[in-house]
Amino acid sequence: MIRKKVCMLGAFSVGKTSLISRYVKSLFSEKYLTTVGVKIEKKTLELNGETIQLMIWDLAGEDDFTQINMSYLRGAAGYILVVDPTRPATFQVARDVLDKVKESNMATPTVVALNKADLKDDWQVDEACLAALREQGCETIETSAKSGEGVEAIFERLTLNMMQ
Amino acid sequence: MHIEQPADSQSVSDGTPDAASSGSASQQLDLLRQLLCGEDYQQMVALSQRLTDEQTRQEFFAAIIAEAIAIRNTQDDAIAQSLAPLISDSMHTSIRNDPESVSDALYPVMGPAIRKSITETIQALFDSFNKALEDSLSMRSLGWRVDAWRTGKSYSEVVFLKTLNYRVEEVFLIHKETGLLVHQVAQSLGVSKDADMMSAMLTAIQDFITDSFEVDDDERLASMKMGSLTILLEPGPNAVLAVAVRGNVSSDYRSLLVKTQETCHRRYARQLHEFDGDTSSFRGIDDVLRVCLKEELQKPVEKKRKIPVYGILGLIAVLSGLGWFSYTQYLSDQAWRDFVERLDSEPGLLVRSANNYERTLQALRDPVADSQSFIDEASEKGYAIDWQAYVAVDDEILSRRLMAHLTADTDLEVNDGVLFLTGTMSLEQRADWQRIAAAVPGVKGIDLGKVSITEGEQRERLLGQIAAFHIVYDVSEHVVAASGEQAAMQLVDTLMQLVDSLNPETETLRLTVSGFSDSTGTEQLRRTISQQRADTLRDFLVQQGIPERLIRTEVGDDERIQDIPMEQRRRSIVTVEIKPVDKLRALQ
Repeated sequence: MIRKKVCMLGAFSVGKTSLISRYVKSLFSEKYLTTVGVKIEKKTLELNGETIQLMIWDLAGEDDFTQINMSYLRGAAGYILVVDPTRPATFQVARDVLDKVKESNMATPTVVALNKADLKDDWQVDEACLAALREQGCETIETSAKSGEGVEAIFERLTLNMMQ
Repeated sequence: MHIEQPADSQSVSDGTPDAASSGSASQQLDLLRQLLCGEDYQQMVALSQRLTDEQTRQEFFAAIIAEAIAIRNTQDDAIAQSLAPLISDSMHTSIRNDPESVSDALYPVMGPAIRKSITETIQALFDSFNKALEDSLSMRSLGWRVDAWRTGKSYSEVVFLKTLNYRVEEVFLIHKETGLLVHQVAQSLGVSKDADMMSAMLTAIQDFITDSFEVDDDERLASMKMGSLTILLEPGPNAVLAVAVRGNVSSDYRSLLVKTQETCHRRYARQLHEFDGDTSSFRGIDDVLRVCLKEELQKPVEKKRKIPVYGILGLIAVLSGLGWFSYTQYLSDQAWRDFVERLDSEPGLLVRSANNYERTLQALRDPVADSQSFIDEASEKGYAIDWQAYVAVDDEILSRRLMAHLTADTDLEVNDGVLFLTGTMSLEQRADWQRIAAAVPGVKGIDLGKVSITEGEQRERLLGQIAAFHIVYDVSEHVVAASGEQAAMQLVDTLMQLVDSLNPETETLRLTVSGFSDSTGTEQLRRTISQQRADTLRDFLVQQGIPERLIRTEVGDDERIQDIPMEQRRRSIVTVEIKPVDKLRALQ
């Protein structure tokens, strides 16, 4: 069995914890509980005949007062950068976070989750930021922790990228 | 220095003019070398061949490799560590390719090994059972059970805490950078719920602490404590060795951790450095980590045996108290049983039921029974008696009941329900006793055989016998016939009894012997024969001891026997009078 460390990154309240909860426990709650520090979950999946165990580090979201603890990112095999398109500002946060991450490790696979796809009518996509993210090699996948849309896909995509 | 091979063969095979000239140059150069180096040249050529020729090299190392390995093995364990993975891989390959040959080779070894293992397991089981039995019955185990109850911990946990210095429950090798678990070994029951999560969180905590405090780069979290569980951390360049320990480890154990960490990094340096989440390359890591799974029992402390004086005194006091209590209880029980038995055996009293614990009883009581002593005793000892009346028919009670009817000079006895009366009583009294016997329940019969009649009646009877006495004579005869003598003797006996019944001070007898005759003869003759008959009887009485002074004779008056036919009046009779002594004396 192969173990991989995955870090969930993004602004606060974009749905990082909800995505993990949906993926690991198949649960979703409207209740918002902010993550303090870091939480870790485990998910084992079979991919291309190989058993892979993801240790998913759910890091506290970035805001004006809280910065990512970079030591938590050490040794990560992949990142999921979560954005809430209903809050355009989260694109910029994601971009800033990605810049920081890439400073230390350019080659780490990163997938961008455009979360809250169930609220697509309210999306205000910052195309410029999105383009910048894509330019840095990030794939984007629309996800919804509430409906489950794209959740399995984004983790599987990242895993595939990590295994290459 | 570069030494070229002699180029003889090249120059010969080439055959061209240039080649010939170059070969010639080469030969010249070789000649020059020989001239310059002398005899060393040939040795140098041979050495060069030995280094460049593979077969020669193999032969060279084959000659010394065994000795070289042996020498290095005495210096350190680098050879063993280097060979271990190779041997392990070789064995795996060999077993996979030809398992039968391996099993054949192991067959002579496996049988004894399995038997030995089973024997040791059974022995350990017995030892464990004995220890468990010993511990479960000791005062110490009782104390541990109390501790377990008081603290809410399981009994086994308390036993563990009390008997072990420390025990390493689990060992984790955690990749330092990723926080991923490389390998984990545990005792039979580990303490971590999820080793992977534990490894990741442990790494996060270390990162958090390192980032939160201003510490040097080489300063890392060394331990964490939760209740009786301690996590010891031994960081290395690429991995952190973490152990979960209960109790307090010895200082030696820290050294063991360092040594194990060094072994891991020496043996798996490349794998740890290039770790990408794949743990399959860490073969043999289990054995390396397992040496850290240690436990250390508390050394039994030899306690000086003290004589538990207070304990012994206390025990004696308790035993004495128990003994005294038992003894008094025994006496009390005995007294109660004795009381019940005595009451039950008392005539006229009958125990119906007795409660030995409450000291109460129900009893039947005949009114004439002697129950007062039992009532007094019960009152004194605190017994409760519920009396009920009944009529007893045992002999003693019948006797008591009949005693009330006794008069002076009489006595009675009841035997098997039969009333035996003794003494003197009148006929009327005898008749009364007959009625009483018939009326009293339990009296089956009455025996008056030993009852005497009264003096008056006795005298009346004697007087009656005397009055009925008479002697009949033959015609004209005054001598008492033989048949008359017998009657006369009875008369004497009766008279004697009558005399005995008299009070000699106040009473005396007066006998009158009267003679009668039939109508034969003259009146004179009749009077004479009558007198003779009276005298003859008087003489007989005197002769038999009746005082003569008490007897007078007379010719009987026919009027007295007028009811008797004339021809049967040839007789004599005796009349008795009892007279006062003084009157008699006056008469005399």
